[in-house]
Amino acid sequence: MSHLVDATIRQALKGWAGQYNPPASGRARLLLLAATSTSRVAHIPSFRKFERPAPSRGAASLATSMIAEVVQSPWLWMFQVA
Amino acid sequence: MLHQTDQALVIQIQQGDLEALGVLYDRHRRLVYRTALAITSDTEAAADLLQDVFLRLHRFAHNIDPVRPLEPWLYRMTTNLSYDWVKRRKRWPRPLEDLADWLIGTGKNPPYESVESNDEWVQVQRAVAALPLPQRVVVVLYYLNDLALQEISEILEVPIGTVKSRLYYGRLALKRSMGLAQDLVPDLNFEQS
Repeated sequence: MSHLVDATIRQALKGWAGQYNPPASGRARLLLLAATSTSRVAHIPSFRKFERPAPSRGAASLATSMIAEVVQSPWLWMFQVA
Repeated sequence: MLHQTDQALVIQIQQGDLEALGVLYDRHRRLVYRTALAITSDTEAAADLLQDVFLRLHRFAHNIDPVRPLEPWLYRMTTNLSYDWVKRRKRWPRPLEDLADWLIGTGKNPPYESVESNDEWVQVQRAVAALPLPQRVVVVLYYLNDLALQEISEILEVPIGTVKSRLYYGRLALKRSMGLAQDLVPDLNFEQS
């Protein structure tokens, strides 16, 4: 009984899915996209300048440099004058 | 190159050979496409997912162990991406044009409306599409792809008991939807009368 149900479902699902095929242009498109993505990555000059600061600096060091930037900011002096 | 194993082709992709990617695509495209189609019920999405799976194969080839068979990796990637697609589709409202198509009943992507086919096939596809997503994925891998329960468990990274449970409830729902519960027990009906 269970085998018959399984066989019926399996046959129907395979029959339904078997009617469909991927688009014919898929291969050429895939290879074009793969080639483009490879060459695009290869030609990007550098990702390094967009990376976070090196881990060795540590969060404390990063915080210190941010505070230093704020202290040196001309805006801060303007507020003090006012 | 056509007669090379999947493993050999993966190594060639790792070395930057795009032709090897094309050969693998030709070899496995139907498997990936039909699996994605059975899960999403959308021909356009299945085509996009097929492309996405092989682009990821290209991009992450260096992470793939060429000693192991490739098919489980393809199934895992296909089911994961199909899962995401179905969830995104649920979360975000359809664009206006889709809504208009739906209102006037001319949906463009549902596969069962675009091809004339056997009634039983259409019925099973609709029943599968109505299953909750986790059950649908297991049913597709089990019935369409003929995978063993252990293989499904490894691909989906869930315990085998979970696979059995999802298959049990999925099968029960399909039986009801397809009217198999009544049709396949004539002896019982005879005894009752």
